[in-house]
Amino acid sequence: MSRNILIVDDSTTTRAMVRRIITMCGAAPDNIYEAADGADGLAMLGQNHVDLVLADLHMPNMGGLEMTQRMQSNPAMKNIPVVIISADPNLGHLEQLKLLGVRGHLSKPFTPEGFRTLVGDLLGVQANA
Amino acid sequence: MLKIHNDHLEASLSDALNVMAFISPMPPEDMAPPTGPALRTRIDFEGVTTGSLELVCPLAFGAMLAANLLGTEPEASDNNASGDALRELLNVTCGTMLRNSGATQRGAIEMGVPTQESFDISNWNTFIESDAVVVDADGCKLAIRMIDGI
Amino acid sequence: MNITVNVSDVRVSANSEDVIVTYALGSCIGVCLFDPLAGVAGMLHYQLPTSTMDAARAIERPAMFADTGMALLLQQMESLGALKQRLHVKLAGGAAMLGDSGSFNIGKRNHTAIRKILWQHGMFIKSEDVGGNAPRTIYLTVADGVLTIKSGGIAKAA
Repeated sequence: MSRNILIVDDSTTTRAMVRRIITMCGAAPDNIYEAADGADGLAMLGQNHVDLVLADLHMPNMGGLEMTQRMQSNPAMKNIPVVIISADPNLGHLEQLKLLGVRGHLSKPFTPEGFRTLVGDLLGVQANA
Repeated sequence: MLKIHNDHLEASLSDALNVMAFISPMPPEDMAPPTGPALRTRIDFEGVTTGSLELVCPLAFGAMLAANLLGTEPEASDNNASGDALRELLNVTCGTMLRNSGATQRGAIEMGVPTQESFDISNWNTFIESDAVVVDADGCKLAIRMIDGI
Repeated sequence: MNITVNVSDVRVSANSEDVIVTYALGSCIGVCLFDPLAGVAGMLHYQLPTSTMDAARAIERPAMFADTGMALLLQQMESLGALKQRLHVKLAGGAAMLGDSGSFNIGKRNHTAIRKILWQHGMFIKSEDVGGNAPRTIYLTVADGVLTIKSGGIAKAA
């Protein structure tokens, strides 16, 4: 079960949507942190205990791919599960993300049900309650 | 360079509106410009195909879009939320179009971060005459066009 | 016993021997709710996506529209002891019937409308069988919330 979740997306609306779906799932985590880009996300990861990262790919400053690469090279962060939620259409990026060990990829646009199916077990809720 | 057809653009906008914002776009009753302040949102992409998408719509649509995305009422949306929701809509439309047109199966395409500026509605006709797709989204008129890059 | 939900109609039951049924859903959508703890089930059969299309009609027949119909269904479910946060939601219908396809596809618009309402209520769709172009008859068993969908001579559970 993920007690502390970090949402990394430059869209405030998407961060709010993801927050809402997490609540709808009945997950009730202790903390939901938010970051607007990869650099901000890494800083949050350095300051807080995080059990699950939900990250976009296209963001200003630092995207989700580079953030995940940097997490992999940091022993304190490399085992934190990462799920990518992105509109990125590139098959090559998905291959790279697989190699980096990301736990899942949700394509935007996504439905609340699609989110729960993919992320439910990481949140500790049933994928189809 | 790979040419993406407008049908893919229209289908991708429709898909994004439907799935993320619960809006079923319809053909517009007429092509007259919408009223009120308007925004132009733009996203660039570069790779096996290069170009930009531009979306023009009334600011009021942004408020409705933000409310739909968040499950609230449009009155609760401020200008920041409206702008952000429109940028996300265009980002998702662009990604869907590049994927569904098969473009990304031919090679990599990097999408940029969407930008936004106010749009002088007196330029509406010029905008839509440049091969734009116009739809009615729950009573608001949206125009979207693709600009081929070099 | 079988309880029939007519077009633009809502029915609920807390009797475990009942089966709630609606016939020939075309572009209409059947919304099925089930509270496993309270043992309450209900069904709405609506025709159109939004009451803003005809406000006067919506007062007269709220179950004709997705928004007013869903409000009525929830209200009747809650009056039998169901709790919104416990409800399982299943959908069926929304087909593109002959002569009603393309941009005006009312079945698709009906589906989009109920998805929006459920999102506003913070409710997930547990299962759905929507779209296509064949009518559906659906049976909701009050005892366990199982939804059986019959279409084109084939029955399946959802």
